[in-house]
Amino acid sequence: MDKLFLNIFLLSSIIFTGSSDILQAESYTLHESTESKEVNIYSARKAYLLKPILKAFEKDTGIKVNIISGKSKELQKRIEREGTNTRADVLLTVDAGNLYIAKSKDLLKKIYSKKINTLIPEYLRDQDGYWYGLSVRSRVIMYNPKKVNLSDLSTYEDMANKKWKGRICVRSSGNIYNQSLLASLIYHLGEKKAKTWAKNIVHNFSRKPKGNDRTQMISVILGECDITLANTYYLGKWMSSEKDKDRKYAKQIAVYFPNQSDRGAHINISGAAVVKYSKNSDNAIKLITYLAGDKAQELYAEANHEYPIRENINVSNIVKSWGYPFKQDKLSAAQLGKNNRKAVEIFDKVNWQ
Amino acid sequence: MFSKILDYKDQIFLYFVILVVITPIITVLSYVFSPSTHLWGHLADNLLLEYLSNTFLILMFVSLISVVLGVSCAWLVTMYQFPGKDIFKWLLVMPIAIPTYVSAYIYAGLVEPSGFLFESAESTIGLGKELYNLINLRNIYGVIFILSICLYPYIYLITYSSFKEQSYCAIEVGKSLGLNKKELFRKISIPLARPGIIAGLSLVMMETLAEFGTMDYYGVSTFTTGIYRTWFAFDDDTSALHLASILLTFVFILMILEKYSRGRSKYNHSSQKTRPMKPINMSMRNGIYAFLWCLLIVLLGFIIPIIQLFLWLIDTYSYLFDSEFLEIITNTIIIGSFASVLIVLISIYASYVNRSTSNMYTKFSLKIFSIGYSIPGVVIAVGIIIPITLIDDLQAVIFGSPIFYLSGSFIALIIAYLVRFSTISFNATESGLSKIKNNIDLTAKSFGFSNFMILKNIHIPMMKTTVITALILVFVDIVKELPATLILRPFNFDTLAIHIYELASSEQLSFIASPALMLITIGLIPVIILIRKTVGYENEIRD
Repeated sequence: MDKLFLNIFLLSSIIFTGSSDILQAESYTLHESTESKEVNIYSARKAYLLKPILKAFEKDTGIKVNIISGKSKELQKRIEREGTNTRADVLLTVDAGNLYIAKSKDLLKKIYSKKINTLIPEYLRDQDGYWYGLSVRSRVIMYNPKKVNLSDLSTYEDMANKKWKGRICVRSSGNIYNQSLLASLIYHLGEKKAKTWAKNIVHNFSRKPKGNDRTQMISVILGECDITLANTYYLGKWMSSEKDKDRKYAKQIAVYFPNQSDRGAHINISGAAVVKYSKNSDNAIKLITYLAGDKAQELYAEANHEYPIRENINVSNIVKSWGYPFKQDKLSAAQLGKNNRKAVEIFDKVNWQ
Repeated sequence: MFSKILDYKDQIFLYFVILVVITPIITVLSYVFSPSTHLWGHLADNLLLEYLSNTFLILMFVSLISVVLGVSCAWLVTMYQFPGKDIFKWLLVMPIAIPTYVSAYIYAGLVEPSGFLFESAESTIGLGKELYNLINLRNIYGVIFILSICLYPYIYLITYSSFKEQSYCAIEVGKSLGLNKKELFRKISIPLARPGIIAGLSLVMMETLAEFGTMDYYGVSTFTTGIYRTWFAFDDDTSALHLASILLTFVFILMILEKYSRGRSKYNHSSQKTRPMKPINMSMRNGIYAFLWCLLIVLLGFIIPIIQLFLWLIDTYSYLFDSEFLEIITNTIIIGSFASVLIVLISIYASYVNRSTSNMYTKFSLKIFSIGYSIPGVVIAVGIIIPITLIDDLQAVIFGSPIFYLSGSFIALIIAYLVRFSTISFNATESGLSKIKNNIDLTAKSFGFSNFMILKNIHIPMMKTTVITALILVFVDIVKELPATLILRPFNFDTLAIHIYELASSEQLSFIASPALMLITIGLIPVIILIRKTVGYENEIRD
């Protein structure tokens, strides 16, 4: 009987000592941070996609990178609550809407770097210097070439036309990509017309919104609908699968860049910002500069099939196959954030689930 | 009179633990009284009804189905002899090791290209598309299916042991009174197993209320997803916590109903001696039915998901050899073991105090231990971040800058697990202790044993099985936990659950194969130990 207690005791002491390594590592980083040989990232970008780039950064600069990944809004909330005592230096996130909110909540630090400003085009960064776009993603129309004539496709606005009744499937409105697209329409068409657009799209649904972007593509391929809205890099990942079968499916859907004769296809960014109460802001700026540089841009464009921030950077062959460059809607990314809340409310009102 | 056994020193630590557990919950509840916002009107007009009805429907059907699955299997396996019974006894517990969100990913993927059901339908009869259109799980039915098939083992496990513990004599008495098999089940076994069934069911209900991943992935709005959306998409803390407090009120009502339904009736065994049940031989036809029923459940809950994961693994196995993968596995095991041992030790101590005190406040605050399980991980996380950052601020005021950052520390993470999962271990240790007569404590006291010695030398050895069960259930739950871990974990600390989430959200499902299989294996090892314990226990009695 004593044995059991002893075992429990031994087990917990093993675990205690085992985990004390981690605790020590933890306190080690604490002391280090004051010497500013490191930089702490809160990242809504997938850590495993960033790792190769961050390793290269560590090697080139000797600055150690600590990272915690999570959902964008959750990380923001954590920074907000941690306030002056946050350990975050850099916020990496997706969607301009998120960056806009972080700025308006006073979570970010204004920075000025001539180098960064030459690396990142103006429309992809905040005009006050609070956040910076690091990659471009486009939400486009994807269609089934067997069922849709190319000549029938034109603009986002046209998707509200009755000819698409029962032919459109989309993702739920809880998704920020749809919110940002509607936010851009609110800017371009005005709130009233944007609402009518959303309402008519709902009328054209072939089914209730479900699943993620991949689900929408599958629905198009399997004939549940003819067109959909999706971000291109999801198709890129599918097309780059090592399995022949996967690639065979991915070939049955085509990409169409809408609004090429007017404002251009809707784009959004993934971006970075220095956190207001960052303790290592010099390193943070170094990291952002590095991420905007040619090496990181190429690595990322290749790994995730997103668009680089400058046209001189190579895109992956898959991305090229859809047509590159294309005309991008150069609406300032900040506008998307500004109209986000209106967009969410419109979605709820028109019952776009 | 027992209050005298316990001195105040013993209680101080308990109050500290209670304070730690209660603070996040109180933090959430404190928002109930903040004034409504503009958004609250919007929610009430457009969404609240949907949240309510979906939550209610899911809760009702998941409870119903998992009770039917869990109780029927436990009854068949304990009472009857039929083909495959000895294997089913094990296999029926296995789904407990698969996180609900992983099952949700897998089942969605099954009928899509690269899923094996789709591919086999496509390649054999060319009906892949038809299958895809026929089986649509991304709706409320899908959620009910996934949760039932993943959660019924909680009921199965507890009911199984209640049926096992039932004295053969009780059944014999029933038989001698002329009851037939149906009546034996209805009038004797079920009432005797009832506390077990209800205990299992309340775990299932709480899991269901707290579930986020499955609903989110299948696009069904419930209270929990609603809280999330309000909190993060609308960024309205007040309305989100309003919703959370409605959810908590709901849980309180459930708990009261549960207590009330048990009433004053107690189902005690007349004697401590139990003779094991001799399994009844079934007719050939009934044996086949029983076999098919168990097979169906095991197929859906365990075998099909595992087959799919292995098929995906073939495409993505190279990932297994990634050096970081090993680190992720180690992290998962370390945090799971450490936190579960700690939580179980605390609940042994807490239930000991609970048994030895008549202090109403203490007893009431211990009740708080039992709500944590139904609070969504996200809500707990926010409930922890708020007070913890306050302490960090306080440190900064006193020392200039925090000496030990609580935010993003393992302490924060472990507190989250404590709030969320101590319910399971507290319930287990409490019922374990209740089987030990108070006289034993008094006798030990009279020999000059201290409280600690009583716990160590008498109680823990006497409730060995209970302690191990609690340890395993908590370990498996922690290892599977996602939302709170995602928000609270320290830098550079990824677990398998986190990794699965990241891979799944980049929409390449086949890549989840290696971390998911690893997570399931880590969960299964203790579960197998648990089952072996019960089997070993049976053998001991037989000898």
